[in-house]
Amino acid sequence: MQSNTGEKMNMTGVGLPRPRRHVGRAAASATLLAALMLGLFVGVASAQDVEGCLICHGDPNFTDPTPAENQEGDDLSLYVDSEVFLSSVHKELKCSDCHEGFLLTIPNHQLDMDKDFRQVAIEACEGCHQEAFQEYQTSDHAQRFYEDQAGPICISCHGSHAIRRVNLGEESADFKMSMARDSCGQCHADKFEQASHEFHFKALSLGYERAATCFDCHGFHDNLALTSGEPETVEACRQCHPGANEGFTYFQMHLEEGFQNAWWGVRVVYYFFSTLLVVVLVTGIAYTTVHFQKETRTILGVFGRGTGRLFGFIRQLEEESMREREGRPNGPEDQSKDEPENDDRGML
Amino acid sequence: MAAGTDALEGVRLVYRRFSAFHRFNHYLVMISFFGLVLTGIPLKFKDSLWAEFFMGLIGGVEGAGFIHRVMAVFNFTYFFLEMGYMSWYVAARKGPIFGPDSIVPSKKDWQDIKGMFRWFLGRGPKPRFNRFTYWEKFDFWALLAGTFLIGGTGLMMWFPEFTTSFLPGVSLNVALVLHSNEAFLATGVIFIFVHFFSAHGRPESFPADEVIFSGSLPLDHYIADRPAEYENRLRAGTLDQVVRPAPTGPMTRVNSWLMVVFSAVALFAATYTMLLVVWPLLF
Repeated sequence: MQSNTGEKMNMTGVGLPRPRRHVGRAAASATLLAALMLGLFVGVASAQDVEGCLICHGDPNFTDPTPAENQEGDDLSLYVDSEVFLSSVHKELKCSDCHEGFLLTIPNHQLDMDKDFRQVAIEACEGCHQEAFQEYQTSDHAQRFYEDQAGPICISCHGSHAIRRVNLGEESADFKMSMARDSCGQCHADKFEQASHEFHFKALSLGYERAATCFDCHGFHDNLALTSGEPETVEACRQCHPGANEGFTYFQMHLEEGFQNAWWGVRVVYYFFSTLLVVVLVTGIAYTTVHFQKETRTILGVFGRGTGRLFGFIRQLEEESMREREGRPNGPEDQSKDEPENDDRGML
Repeated sequence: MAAGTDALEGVRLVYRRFSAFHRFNHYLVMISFFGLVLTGIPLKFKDSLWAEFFMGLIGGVEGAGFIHRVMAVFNFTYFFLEMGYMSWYVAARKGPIFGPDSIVPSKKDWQDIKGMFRWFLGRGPKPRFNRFTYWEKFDFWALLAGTFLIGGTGLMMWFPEFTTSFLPGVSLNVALVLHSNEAFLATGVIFIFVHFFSAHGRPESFPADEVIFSGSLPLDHYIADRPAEYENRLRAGTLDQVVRPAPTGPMTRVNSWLMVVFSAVALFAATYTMLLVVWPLLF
């Protein structure tokens, strides 16, 4: 349905050579009308596109041919995937509900080019989401944004056309995990990776939706870095651990897999027990293998001979010692060697 | 059927090795150990394909967490029962603390280890064991030490707010590392070699050693297995303390059934653990 719409729109003119400016308006009006009529036939998908933006922006090859000065590489894509948009939480909105201040002039919109598009973007979100916007103002993200425009804004985490609905406190573990990965993980990939070895993330990835992920501690909109010992960190922990105190916040949440960045005490314990594990398991398995084959051979004749073949080196050693004994048949230990079990019973 | 029982011809004699108290404790160890491993290992090996599946079986992370804590209480119970028993044994002078019948490691254990290796290589007879062999002593003390460490760190994480009221939060990192590594070590020791093999997997006791369920074992097995203890008792004339007619009655049947059930559980637990541990190494 959707792609069908796109193709039809293509046929209506977007794929054709760009009309010159003075004929543009007439052409645009005609195309718009054609698109609106088409929309009646193709149903819901294009029903949202009452402004006809997708006539041009529905074309995957639609790019901005006049790149900004600092723009490098390919032309900026101006394509909007209508399928993605229509599966977003904003599917009921018109384009101009967010893209405020655009005048419908084709081929070029009239833009307030003096204003940074990021500023336009956060103001667009603020229009409806004042509360979230106010929270954002207190975040470390906002601080960086207002300093040098480098910090993330709403769309950096939420995306622009693919915004998902979030029901706080009701989300599945998978959803929380993917939000954390796709939003926070974009910039904080190292922190995300480190946290994924930690208990909370492990529980989350096994389906425990109450386990904390990035934004449960660091906040949804009022994101803070959180340092051990700080009052806001204590508050963050207290959301789930009401008795948390300052000492509680010295738990190390973001540790590398091998604990290289952990407190030395953690590393000592880790190395000690890893070594112990290897030593005990290797020694134990080797010992058990030898013990097992020896016992099976001695006690269960037939079975024992079978397993004995699997352990050629023991056999070889035994044969060696047998030859040695045969070499000196009157050796003092000779009688007791072959049948220790019988020997034990002989004592009775 | 047993050697040296002429006076009691026709009566099946057994050697009574474990009292009801010790068997009860072993049940606690068994149940809590299986419960703790089955609910704990999927979290450690969460990347395994099986982790989520097994977690689902045991009620998700929340269900697993609940079972884990209940089993932890069982675990503490046997630990304190055993500590209590040992204290009482020592305080009431129930018997010698050191010596051939004791679970305390002795010089003879070291000689037995050397003797076993000579026997492995065909250079000597099998050592003649006392009441407890060196691997049984290892099993026992390793379990007690492990329970103390794993149980202690487990409690720290169970009550994190209490722990950090007197320790820094990083102590919980230490606890987590220790708990997880030591538990994995214990699982390996119990499941892979020392216990399942040495106590239950040896040919004479395969698939499970009945002695820990029924408390006693046939006299001839005992004489073959623990010749030194047998001789000591023969010489000291204390054999009648441990040798008695085979128990009869409904409990023997119950014990046999329990043995079958727990063998099956043990097999399942070992397979489960291997799937979780080995699977991620292969795929």
